[in-house]
Amino acid sequence: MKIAAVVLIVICGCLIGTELKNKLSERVKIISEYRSNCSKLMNMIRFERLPLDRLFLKLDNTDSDIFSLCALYINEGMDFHSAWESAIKGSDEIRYLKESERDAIVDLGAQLGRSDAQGELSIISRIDEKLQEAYEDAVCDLRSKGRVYSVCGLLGGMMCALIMI
Amino acid sequence: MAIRFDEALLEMGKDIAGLYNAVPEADRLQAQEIRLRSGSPPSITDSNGISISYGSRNVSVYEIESAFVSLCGHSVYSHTEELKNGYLTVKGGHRAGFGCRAVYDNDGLLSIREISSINLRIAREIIGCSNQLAEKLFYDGLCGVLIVGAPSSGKTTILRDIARYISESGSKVTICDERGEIAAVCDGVSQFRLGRCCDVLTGFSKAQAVLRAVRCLSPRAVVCDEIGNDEEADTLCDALNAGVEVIASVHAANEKEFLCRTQCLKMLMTGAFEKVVFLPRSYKDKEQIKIMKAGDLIENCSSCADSYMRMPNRYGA
Repeated sequence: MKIAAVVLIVICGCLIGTELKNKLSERVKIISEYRSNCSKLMNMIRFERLPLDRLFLKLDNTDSDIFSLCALYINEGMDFHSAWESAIKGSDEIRYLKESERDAIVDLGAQLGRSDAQGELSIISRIDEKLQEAYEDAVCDLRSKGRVYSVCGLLGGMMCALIMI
Repeated sequence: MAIRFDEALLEMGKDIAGLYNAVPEADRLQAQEIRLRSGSPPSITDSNGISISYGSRNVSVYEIESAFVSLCGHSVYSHTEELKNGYLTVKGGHRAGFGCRAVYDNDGLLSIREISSINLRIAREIIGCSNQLAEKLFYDGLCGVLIVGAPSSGKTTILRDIARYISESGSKVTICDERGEIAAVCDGVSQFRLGRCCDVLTGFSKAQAVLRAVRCLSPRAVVCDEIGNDEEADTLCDALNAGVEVIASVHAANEKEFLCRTQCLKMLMTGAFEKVVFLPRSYKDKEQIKIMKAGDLIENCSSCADSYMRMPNRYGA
């Protein structure tokens, strides 16, 4: 019985460590997806000049939660800016991001669609620069902290198990 | 029309639509324009051209800005060229004009900013409104027609209905809809009834659209709105030489104003138009619609008679 409890505690420790590491890798994935969508948006604005609602409907098959939700709300008849706000409120992935990264994404939706093509491209490019920094930071965090979290989780579990014994 | 009023109003966003809650149904039916001016109460223009204000609350600059972004479908960049030309056609064919400040660079007008007022003209569709007129115009076959009228006299409504009339009678017609007002195509579907033989070229300049229509769509008639400059007049000559009839509109309140405009005379002299229709100020006075033969009109104008007679055109000189 005691051995089973010890194993369970060690496993729990490992899981907590892995979960923390996953959060970091999820953040990298999310930011990378946003950057990819920014690049697609820039190309579509530069070459197609389609309005935002149509652009977002084209980006519907993206892995990004906010972009998909935004497309869904637009499809339901919301205008772009309201759809973006609602998508941010309803998104799960936003919790993986730091405050400055969230602000960049909120800004993206708030500022898009209010100026000419040149203005739009510079807004997206500015947000993309912020996301680039965030991406580098996230990758760095994943490399440095990811392993630490896994090891700490395992060691923490073992320590708790030892204390129990 | 009340439905069209509500539809047009919603294009400015729900908040702005709320400002017009007090407009009675009768006024909604009569409204020709929805007007927003910063620092003034929201207003409409009725069918007699009289402005009526509602409420005492003044519209703020922020509200104007929000209505502008909403009219642009929250994508100002996708309407840059239209905005440079001073208008914007929204879903349903309603046309918005703006009071604003121009931004120039070395290449000319770059964009507009500081929107201070918005005028949204409600597009009307009166199916069959041109039936009698079309029967008089085309009793001996299709011919080139120039429709002349003052702003808000119903030129576009008549043009659209003439296109429908020709199309439903089985002749191929192409609408060259530079501003998206005549056919108001949205997602590939016209918002108006245009008959079974109608093709629409949206967004092309008139010159390009007419050439494209003649080359690829083999129409019997080409319909276009508000022609005026020299390039457009030259294109009409090309269309004429390709055996296509041109039905177009032009701004002028009456015969005198029309004849004073050199561009109008030039258009007549191309020979593209056999008949000229003068619309009264209001469509309500449709009994006052006047049809004249282009040849008679030019001969009335002594100053241009000589040059007209020297022009080789379909009336032959």
